[in-house]
Amino acid sequence: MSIWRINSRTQELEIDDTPPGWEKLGGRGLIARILNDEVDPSCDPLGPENKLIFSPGLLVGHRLSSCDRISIGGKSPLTGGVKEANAGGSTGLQITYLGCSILILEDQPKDPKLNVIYISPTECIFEEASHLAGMGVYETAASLLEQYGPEVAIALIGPAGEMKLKAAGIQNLDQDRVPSRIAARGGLGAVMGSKGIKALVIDSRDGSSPDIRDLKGFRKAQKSYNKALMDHPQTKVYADYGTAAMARICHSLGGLPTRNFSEGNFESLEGISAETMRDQLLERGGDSNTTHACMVGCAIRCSNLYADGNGKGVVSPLEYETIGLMGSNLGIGNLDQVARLNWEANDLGLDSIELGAALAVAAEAGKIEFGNFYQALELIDEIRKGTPTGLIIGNGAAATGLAYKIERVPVVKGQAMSAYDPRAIKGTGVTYATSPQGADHTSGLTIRAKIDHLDPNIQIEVSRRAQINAAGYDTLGVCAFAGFGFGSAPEIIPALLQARYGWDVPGNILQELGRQTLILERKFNQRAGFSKNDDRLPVWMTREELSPHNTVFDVPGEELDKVFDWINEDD
Amino acid sequence: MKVEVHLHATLRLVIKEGKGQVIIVDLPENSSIGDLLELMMIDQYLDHMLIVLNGRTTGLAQVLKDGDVLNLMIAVSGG
Repeated sequence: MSIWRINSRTQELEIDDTPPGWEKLGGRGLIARILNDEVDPSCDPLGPENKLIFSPGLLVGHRLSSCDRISIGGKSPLTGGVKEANAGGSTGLQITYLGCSILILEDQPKDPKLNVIYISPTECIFEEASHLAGMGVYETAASLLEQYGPEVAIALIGPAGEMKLKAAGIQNLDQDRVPSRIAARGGLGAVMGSKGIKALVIDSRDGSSPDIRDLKGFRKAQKSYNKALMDHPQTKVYADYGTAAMARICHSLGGLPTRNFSEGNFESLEGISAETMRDQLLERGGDSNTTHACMVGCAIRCSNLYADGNGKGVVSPLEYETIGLMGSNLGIGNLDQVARLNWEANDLGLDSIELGAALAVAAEAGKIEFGNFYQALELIDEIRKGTPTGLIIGNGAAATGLAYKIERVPVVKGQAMSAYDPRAIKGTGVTYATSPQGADHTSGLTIRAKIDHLDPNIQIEVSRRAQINAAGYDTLGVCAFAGFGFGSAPEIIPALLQARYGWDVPGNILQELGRQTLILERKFNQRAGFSKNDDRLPVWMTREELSPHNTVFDVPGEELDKVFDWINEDD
Repeated sequence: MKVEVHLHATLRLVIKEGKGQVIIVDLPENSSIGDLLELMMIDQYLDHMLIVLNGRTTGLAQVLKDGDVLNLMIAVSGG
């Protein structure tokens, strides 16, 4: 295991051996470990003490289906706590091909000039990049691909990251070199911007896949995994409809965020459903693609390429969370319009969840009308121009609520909720409230559980289990959607780890890794000043009823405190 | 009794009438959701199906009544 540290002030690379306690972690878990070991929890997230950590998961580097995700982390400018956001694409794979287990971007230059970092197995070069300042993600990526060649992986920020906006993420190239695989949440793009780095270009042409201790054993486990994935009916749903299939599911449960989380059903659901999208794309043809893989070797292929009425590509992918937050939550029932808003978010390098939530709060404040796509577009343009209004919106939903004196702001720990209203899907509400990451469905979504999602008495254990598993998958670098494959054959993960590393791991290693990660994340947050009062949904959600079920979030605070009662936090 | 059944994503294609998304099914009194799925010949997906009756998740043993609205889907996650 080798640790690559790049100092953004001195522009030097140092390659270290693994410190004790880091060896058997990767991805999200290793980020939490490093933050505890090396980052002052009280530091300014945009100052020189914070670190930006690129951490491939433990199974990354072998083109296993859906297992090459990159986790990116640091102290979050949005939440003030621990942050990990992960993405597909090629960044994770290529970092491992360098012979690098984890890449840590440190310090901060005094000179405000922008740089691009180029790394290969033998080189680390800073190139002055003021010509890329203010440039959108798509144009920047095209320019860098032309300069460095089509084989490289790139992690980059847009104007939002350069402006250090708290909703800024870090984009990564997909397997078709489209820069729209965003490590979106928590403002990590601002951390990258604060270090003066526009892009990290990874050239692994002279590198190779990490060693596998027992290749025969690895291939055997891989074969079982592929079979489990392909035999599962969910694979077909993801391939044909993608995550957008959630729109109707959420609507049917009365939890589709509508007009700033004020209703759980949207009258224009069919305008934004996956079924409409699929029919539309098949009819439009051209660049349209309903079944697309973001990573090499992915068998699930949940991604898509959304094309306009002329068959010309608009954005890839168009996902459920964006459809929820920039569609129904803005009162917009038209996929062409949502796709366009999504492109703008991507190009600015913004988290579409946070941006959608912020725009809806602005609509609540009367700054734009719900359902008015053109006004939403104008407000996004304010961000691009860096106007005071744009800076408010680009800093996320909480900042927007504060500026416009709006109470109905759907955030926890300062981070906007994803597209599941927690009053109708209460287990996911428990996750939003208690996750060390802030409100985030990827920390433990419960909607697939066969339970009454409205019953407040049965959600704690469901959320706890989902959070532990999610933290485990994020530590392995495994896409959450591969979880159903591993879930139907749980012996595969231990077999893969044993074959890859020669470790003797227990059958419940997924949960072990998840628990370890959550312990570390909770610890960092506590040291940063978080308490159980931060593990709560906004008060208005406990008293304002959500139609059509007319339900509030009524899981009591003392119950929420039990989610992590298995951790001895007095130590 | 008549029950309104909404079929989502891949399930909408298993119905022989083509791309039907909402169908009205006439059932004998006291039929359960399990009976309905067997009748519709989509019981092969049972382990992975999310069954939502009048907006609430429920199970196969649930007995249906006239006017019920049932949503059926293979459960996925968002992204």
